[in-house]
Amino acid sequence: MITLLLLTELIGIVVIPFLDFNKNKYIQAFLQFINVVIFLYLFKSLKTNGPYYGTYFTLDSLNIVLIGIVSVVGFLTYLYSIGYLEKEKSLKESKIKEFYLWINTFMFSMLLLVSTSNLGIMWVSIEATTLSTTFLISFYKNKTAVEASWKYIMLCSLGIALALFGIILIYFGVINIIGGGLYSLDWQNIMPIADKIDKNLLKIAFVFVLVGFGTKMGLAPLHFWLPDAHSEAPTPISALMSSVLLSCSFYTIIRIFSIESKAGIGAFTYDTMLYIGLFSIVLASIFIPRSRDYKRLLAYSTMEHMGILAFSLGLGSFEGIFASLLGLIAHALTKALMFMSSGSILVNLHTKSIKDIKGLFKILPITATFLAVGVFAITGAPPFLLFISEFLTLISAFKEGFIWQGIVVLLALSLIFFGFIESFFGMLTREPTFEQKKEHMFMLIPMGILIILIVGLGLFIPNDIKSLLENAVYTIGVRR
Amino acid sequence: MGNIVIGILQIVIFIALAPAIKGFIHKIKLNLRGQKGPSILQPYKDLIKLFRKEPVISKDASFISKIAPIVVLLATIISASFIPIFSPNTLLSFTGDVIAFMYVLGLSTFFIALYGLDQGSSFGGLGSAREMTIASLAEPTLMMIMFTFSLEYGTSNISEIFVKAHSHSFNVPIAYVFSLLALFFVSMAENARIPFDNPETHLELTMVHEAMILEASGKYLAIFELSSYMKLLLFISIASNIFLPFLYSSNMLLNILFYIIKVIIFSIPIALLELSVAKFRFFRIPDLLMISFALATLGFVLYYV
Amino acid sequence: MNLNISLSEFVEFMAALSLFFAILQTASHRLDFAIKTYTAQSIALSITMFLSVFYYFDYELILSAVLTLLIKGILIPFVMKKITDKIVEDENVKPFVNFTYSVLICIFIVIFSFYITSNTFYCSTDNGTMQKVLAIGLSIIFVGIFLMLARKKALIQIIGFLTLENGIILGATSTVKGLPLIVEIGVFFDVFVGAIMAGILIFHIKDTLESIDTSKLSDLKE
Repeated sequence: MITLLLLTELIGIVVIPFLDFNKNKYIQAFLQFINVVIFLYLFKSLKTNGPYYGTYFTLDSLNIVLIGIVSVVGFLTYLYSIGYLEKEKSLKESKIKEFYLWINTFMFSMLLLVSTSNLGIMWVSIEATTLSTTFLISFYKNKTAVEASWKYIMLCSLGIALALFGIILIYFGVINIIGGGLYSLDWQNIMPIADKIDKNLLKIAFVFVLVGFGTKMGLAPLHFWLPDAHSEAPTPISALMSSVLLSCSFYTIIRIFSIESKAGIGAFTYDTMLYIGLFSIVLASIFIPRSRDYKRLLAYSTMEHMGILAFSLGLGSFEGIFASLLGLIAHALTKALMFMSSGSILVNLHTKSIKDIKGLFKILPITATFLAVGVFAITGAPPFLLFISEFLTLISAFKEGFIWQGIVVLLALSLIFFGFIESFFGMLTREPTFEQKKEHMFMLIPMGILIILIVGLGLFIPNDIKSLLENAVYTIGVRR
Repeated sequence: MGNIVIGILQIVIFIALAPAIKGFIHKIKLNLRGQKGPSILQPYKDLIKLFRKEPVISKDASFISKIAPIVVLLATIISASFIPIFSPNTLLSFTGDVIAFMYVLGLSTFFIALYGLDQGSSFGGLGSAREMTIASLAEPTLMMIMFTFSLEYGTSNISEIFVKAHSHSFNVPIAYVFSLLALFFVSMAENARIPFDNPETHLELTMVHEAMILEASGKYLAIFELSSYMKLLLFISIASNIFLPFLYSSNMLLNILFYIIKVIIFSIPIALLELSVAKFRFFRIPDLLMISFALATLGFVLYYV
Repeated sequence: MNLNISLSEFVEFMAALSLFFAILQTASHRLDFAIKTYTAQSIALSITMFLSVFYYFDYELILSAVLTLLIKGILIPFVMKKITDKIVEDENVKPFVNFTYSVLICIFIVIFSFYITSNTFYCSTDNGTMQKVLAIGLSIIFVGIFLMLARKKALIQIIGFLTLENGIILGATSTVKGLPLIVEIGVFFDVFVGAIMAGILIFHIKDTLESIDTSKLSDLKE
């Protein structure tokens, strides 16, 4: 069944050359909708049958969360891009076909990544995502886009290569116990014997993996590509990268993290995660109030949220890991909303500068409303989903005794809140600097769906999802 | 008593052989270039001619100009007494320390550089500065190579290294290739050969070694020339005797013959390199010396980890 | 004196030769010399892998060795050469760190990586070959990272990345006798496609900037 997910993407790639401009977009979006349906089916089958561990593919409670994020946000992004590509009248048809080629490859690699728990296949798919997004970042082929793309490919390839070395070290530790071959790179086979692997080896491997996949995820210190890449790429791609790709990299880190915590070197790995997360949050909070470009601001906010996710994972308690997973879902949905709304601003007003835009309520009323709601959602105000996860994180931090770290996070979050309010409300109020534009329906629908999801899940999380997340936490392993 | 005689014999043979080797290398180079070249014994004749002439010293020179040539000659002879030529019984085999060897060699370099500065001419200073740059990069490399040997054989006494190397229970690790290459480059650097310095040049701006002894004349020049011949033979002897220990028997006369053969074999690559490359511009010389240092380090870590 | 060279020594030697070519790359003044040294390094690497087959008796390594030779020894340098011919008008490599210091830093890198691996990895069966080859692999990785960071021209940064990958494969060969076949093929494929994509991106950089000096790519700040 999982292979069907991948198959739809492949069909999407194959079909592109045969369709003309208009039909292409709708058919691609429809294929993604099929993916969402498959996801719901998989969710149900997980509930009834329990986890499935095959040779290449895996379906357990951790996986399904990410498959859900990828397919749902992916579908909404494809809907959004229908409107986006129609508004971007300057693009030739071959460019659009190139867009769909790369974005389908991107979705294919991401789906491959989240439907397996084999470390080797995960690595190959992450590298594939790097390669498929490179040309998407330099899509507009101007100077800044090419610069962002070059930084991206160099830095991410460097990071991922380091992560490969870490995976090789883990494989080396495992190979003495259960022998070689593809199966011994699989997480399900490593977990039972995790405590027999040499501890020093695992520590060194974890450092390499954290630096490597942390690069892809946007954790300091190798986050430099993040603001440039996310602001220069076309908005559907920014949304996908920011919400989905980084979540997938986090998934990889979680898998390896759970191996480490099972192996019993908990203190080292948990603390490293915690402090790297803290460092990223602080760094992001320094840059957010100074941003002049709203897409860059959103990129730094992504970095901050990734830091929060790492921080809460590093807390190690049940609430911490639960908050981390919840935050993963919340961030994916909320950030997608934010990028979509700012994308429609960009495509209508053609400027990225915060100072130039004022009075958005009069220019693009519905988008502005969504944007205002999104600002509150992303800074962690109730009743949105992100509030619950950040609240749980802070409670868990104080409960576990990380008092000053929790206070630092709180300060950073407030700094970011003020930064967001100042920038975005400057854009929303006062006299409009542009005249009113028409908004595209297909760009508004996904945003609306996202808001409903964020508010709905924020108010009430269904029991299914709650028990799923609890299972996922136990799969990862709790320190305390 | 017999050991001291053998030691003195080694030094005498060494000094006697040095100009011939220099002449030999020169002759091969010119022959391969298509010229006939002077005879191999020409350096002897040059030395005799120079010894007969009266030295002219510039009026700005101090006492250094009088003592430097002697110090250089003595330092080179002492260094040569460390190295076993055809027998491990050298004059200094009781101490024969690697580090002392390097320091005495460094002493001769230092005094030549002083001599170059002392004459008060700008070319002398130019040569001294360049020589010091090259030496500061070449000496650590040489030290690294020597240490590789010391650690391998477990002793820092050069004569003992020689003895152990020639015993049959020893395998040559292939990592020696790195150290050999590094030693080759260092020898070319210390002896002012291409690609570091052209020994045949007459253009003062491109000189390194020649510039320092530009002002020397008469017997001082003869002493400097003899020292440089001996230094060349010294490095070749290190390579042939310590590095690839083969062709050794217990008969002394046969050993002298083997030694001469080994030296001839090792001189040929020097001549070939001199023919195939041009002299590097000076700013590229540190790069080359660093690369030879990297080679020496590689040889070292491969053997001794 | 005996001239027996055991197989493990030969493996170490070829690995060290690969490392030497990597260090030589950091000291290269011109782009085509860097590409030629990279070719030599990949060939030395594939010979190392080929010899390890006889040492470890693991025949999957033969495929990896052949793939390394084909892709990294022949195909990628060919592509690089094509790019250099078409694009580059100024062959000089512009360094951030000058060449002498680069080699010195590489020497420290070698010593450092031998130090890291000395305490952690011990394998009692083969008198230290595995540890040495792993240390050499780690050194090549760091030399590759250094190349990426300390040079301005985009092409050298790609070669630095390829060197990095070479080092990883050497590390994999020594410790785990080669990754599982699917993963290995995936790695090769990714590296190859990555190099080609970076090459195409260089064309775009050249179009927008008129040079491939990446220190000019500094518009995006803050």
